[in-house]
Amino acid sequence: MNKFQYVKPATLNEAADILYQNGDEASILNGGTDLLVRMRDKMIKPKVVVDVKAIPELKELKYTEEEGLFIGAVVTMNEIVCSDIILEKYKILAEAAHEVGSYQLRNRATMTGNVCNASPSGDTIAPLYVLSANIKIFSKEGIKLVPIDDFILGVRKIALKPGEIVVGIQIPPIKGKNGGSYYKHSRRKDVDLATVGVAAFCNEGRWKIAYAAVAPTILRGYKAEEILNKLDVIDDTTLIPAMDAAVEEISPISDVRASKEYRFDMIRISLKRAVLAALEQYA
Amino acid sequence: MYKYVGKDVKRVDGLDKVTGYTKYVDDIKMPGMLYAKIKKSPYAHAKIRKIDTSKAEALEGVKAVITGADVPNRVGLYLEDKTFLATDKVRFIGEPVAAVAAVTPEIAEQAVELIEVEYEELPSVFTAMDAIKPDAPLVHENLGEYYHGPIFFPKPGTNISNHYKIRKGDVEKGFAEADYIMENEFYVPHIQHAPIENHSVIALTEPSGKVTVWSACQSPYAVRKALSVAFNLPLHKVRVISPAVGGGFGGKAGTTLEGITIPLSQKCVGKPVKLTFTREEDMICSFVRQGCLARIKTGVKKDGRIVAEENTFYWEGGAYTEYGVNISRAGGYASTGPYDIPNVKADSYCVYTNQPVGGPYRGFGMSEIHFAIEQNLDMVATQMGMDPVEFRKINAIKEGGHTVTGQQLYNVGITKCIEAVEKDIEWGKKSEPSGPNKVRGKGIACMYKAPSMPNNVASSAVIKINEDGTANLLVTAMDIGQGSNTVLAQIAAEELTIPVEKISVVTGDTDITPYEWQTVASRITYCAGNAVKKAAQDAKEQMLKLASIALGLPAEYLEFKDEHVVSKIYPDRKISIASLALGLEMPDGSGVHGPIIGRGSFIPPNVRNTDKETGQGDKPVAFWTFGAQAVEIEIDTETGQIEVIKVAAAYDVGKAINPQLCKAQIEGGIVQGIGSALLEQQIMDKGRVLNPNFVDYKIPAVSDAPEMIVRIVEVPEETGPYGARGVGEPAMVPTAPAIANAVYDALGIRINSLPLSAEKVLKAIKDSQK
Ligand SMILES: Cc1cc2nc3c(=O)[nH]c(=O)nc-3n(C[C@H](O)[C@H](O)[C@H](O)COP(=O)(O)OP(=O)(O)OC[C@H]3O[C@@H](n4cnc5c(N)ncnc54)[C@H](O)[C@@H]3O)c2cc1C
Repeated sequence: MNKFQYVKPATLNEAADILYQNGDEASILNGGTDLLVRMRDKMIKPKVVVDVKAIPELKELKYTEEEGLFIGAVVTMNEIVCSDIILEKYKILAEAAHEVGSYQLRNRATMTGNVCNASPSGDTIAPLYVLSANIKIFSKEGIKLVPIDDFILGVRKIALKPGEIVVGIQIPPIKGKNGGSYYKHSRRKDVDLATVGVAAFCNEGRWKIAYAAVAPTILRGYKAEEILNKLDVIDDTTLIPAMDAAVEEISPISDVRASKEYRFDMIRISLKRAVLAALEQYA
Repeated sequence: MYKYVGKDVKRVDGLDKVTGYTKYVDDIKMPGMLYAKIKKSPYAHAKIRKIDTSKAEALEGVKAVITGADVPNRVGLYLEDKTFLATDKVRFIGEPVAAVAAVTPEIAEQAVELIEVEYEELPSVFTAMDAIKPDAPLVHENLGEYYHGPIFFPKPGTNISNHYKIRKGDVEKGFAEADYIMENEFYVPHIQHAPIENHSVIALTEPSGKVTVWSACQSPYAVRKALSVAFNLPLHKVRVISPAVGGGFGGKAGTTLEGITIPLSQKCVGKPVKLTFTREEDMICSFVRQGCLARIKTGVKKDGRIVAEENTFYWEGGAYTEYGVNISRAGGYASTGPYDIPNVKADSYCVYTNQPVGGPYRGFGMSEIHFAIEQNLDMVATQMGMDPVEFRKINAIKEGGHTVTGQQLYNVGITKCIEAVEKDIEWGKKSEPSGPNKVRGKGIACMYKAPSMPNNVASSAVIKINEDGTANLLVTAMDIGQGSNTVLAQIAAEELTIPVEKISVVTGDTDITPYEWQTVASRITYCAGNAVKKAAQDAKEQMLKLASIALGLPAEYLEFKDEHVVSKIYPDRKISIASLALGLEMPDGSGVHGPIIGRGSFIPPNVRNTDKETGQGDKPVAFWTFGAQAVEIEIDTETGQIEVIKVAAAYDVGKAINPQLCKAQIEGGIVQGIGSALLEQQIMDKGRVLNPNFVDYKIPAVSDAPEMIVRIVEVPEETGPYGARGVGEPAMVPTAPAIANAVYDALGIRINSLPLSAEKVLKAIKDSQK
């Protein structure tokens, strides 16, 4: 690893100043489970590492009927998995958070880190797409909310300018009957990255679908959604057109984890399983 | 009847390990320590034209830079074909070509980047089948000049570094008599040992020229020998200390990083030089399990008797086969598995390729060949309409039966093992799948294994009795997690009647602990166990003489009991071991004899060479261990994922010195076997490893462990301590073929190569539907 300066600011303003002054040479350190790996592999060589875990605003986890759920940037995956309000109202998020790495890893990893890392296989991102999450960003100019699909631009590319910090993730309240599920297909049950992932969420009969690990970014499954929205009965057979649509919507690659062909096969099965599991939650 | 042997004594190293106290090599920090890094070859095969180290040497903080010119001597355990750094050419991607020692690891790394190497690329070979072609580029042009052990048969001018032959009976006659003849082919890929501890070595050269290395190694004496050859040092000037081994699985059996750290330390006398491999380096630059292509032709009679078999194994040995040649030999002399087949022709070829170096791996060839043998057996049984279990019982070696080398065997436990797993897995009974799109299947596989070692390898042990009646046991058998410290302490305790907790085991220091050939081959309980037993007996003989004087009774009327020498007739006439420890004090205050030090030496008795042309011999190995496993699996037919639900295992271990540790070994072996069956493969593209990390090289996690029913069969081995045989490696051998056989049972589909990845299984399902 290269030499770097470590700073741990106590306020957002202080952090923003440091980040602004150092521009590209600074990296935000959250749980560090992506950042440190990339630094070790010399994929990035920041001169300044800005630890944001001392900033009070980032530690919040709260829910209100009006604004919905706010998950502060430094809230860990394990805190999310164990949160009663998330388990009650946004179970798909707890489910996805639980899919990330191992227990030890989830003690450090954060959902904001997962989003900002913007990996196509990030497990919590597809669920955030189907929940229409917004990313809450602080800069010296103020606070802004950016829809997650505008925030993520490509593989490890996000819409964040020097001096900006993600404060957390804001998820709208959900009204009416709903149910969601994230299905992760991986080589090994535990501690593995998704070969293919599908998030399915249904609210008052309207479906939202997102695919993971099958394109440079998470993808919304608009075609599959359209088909699902029209279905009266959803089962193994009626799902087939939606499964076919999923295949058309993705552009997977072949890599050491799986061939493109296998990913095409698995998107079908993952879609089916995610939708059926979401239906089981539907209430 | 035994007090300590056969008991579930708690691991003597347990507390230190679970509290994190145990110090592994990389935990050791010394004043003035330097850190080393290696420069690696980016080419699979290339001539080294020039190495320029001047920029690296000029970097501040760099203390030494070495290249192949500094380590010119060829070394190798069985075939001296390697140098510690590449000299004339590089033979695989990742091969070390130069190394640096600097005051920090970061500076060392920076310096490595400043080393400039000019290469001239050469054509490469990546599969055994390509490498044996007559016009294949040669990985080692000078094979004919390499020194090798007399039991190996390299073919100079080719890439074949060993050709082991078996010619038993008359194979042509056998096939002529057969009612059915079938041929099958199988392949297992290269896999990783994946120990939790990466390779790590510290070397220190003293002003006198004496070299000490602290090395995470399984075999300090074998390493010492190789280093003395490599560096022209007499043995007493090389000290190898193995403080602790964080998992070996064979990967830490030979020499590894010692050969790089020593020449660095010789250039910085008085300063310890540490080299710890990163995980990526561990996975590319250290031993891997060889790939193996196996072809089996089987001739069977209608009644199910196999009458002829022709086996050909091609081992993808990688760039250096100093160790690999012996794996091909082991594959040869075990080539039919635990079955009595009268006519056999087997050819086992160790082949050089431009790939990472193949080496010892738990099972030493047995996992690879049994994947073929045991699937082939099922395929033959299916074709004949026979039940796989029955078919195995018919052909399994019986009392007085013969192995493939013509060795006649007695005390054979294989049939008992088959019967045990047949019962425990409820063979023949189908259970319900857990849901739609799921199918279940059961499969069985057997195995046998002998320690793959030269005939006359030696072990020794020293026991020092202390004046309070406690004892120190000195051995160089290494506890690499298998529990040898505990088992050897139990053996000493049994003989001396001193409780295990009063015996402290000291291991792994060639200046202090006595000779042990290697901690490999599942030989330690057997070999070192015999040496410890003899050392204890030696100490006892000395004490008996003294007790006889003290008690005024002839030695034959005395026995050892509860830390005392006691009269067999008058139990109250006794003297404690403690009071004999430093010799006997006479009534007039004088003393006799002095401290009690027991020494024991052992060489497996009567193990002899086999015939060069036929491979036949009446005792080519010390002993055989037999075992069987049966598995139940469930397959998700939509994804191809296999879940192993249950594994029943039975092993004839002769005598379980510590049944709990024995079972733990077997459970660990099963899980490792599941890894090799379902997940593990070193993925390579033209010699480049694509998954040198745990992100993409998956080994089983806790949630992959199935229900395991482990049964221990005890048919004593006459020459083993208390009848014990080895079991560490046999534990993983049958798991993969049993799972492959269960896949067939579930789907009616044969998959002839590992791993049985979800993607491969799904593809096979789809192909079968076409
Ligand atoms: C062993 C292991 C297993 C893993 N398994 C999985 C898995 O199964 N699924 C999965 O999706 N991921 C997995 N990961 C990846 C990683 O753990 C997750 O992406 C995790 O959520 C990252 O969170 P973090 O807090 O550690 O992020 P960090 O590493 O701290 O940061 C990640 C990136 O986000 C940026 N960042 C972080 N916080 C902010 C902020 N507040 N504002 C702006 N930018 C910010 C950082 O600068 C960095 O670029 C695994 C990683 C490891 C090491």
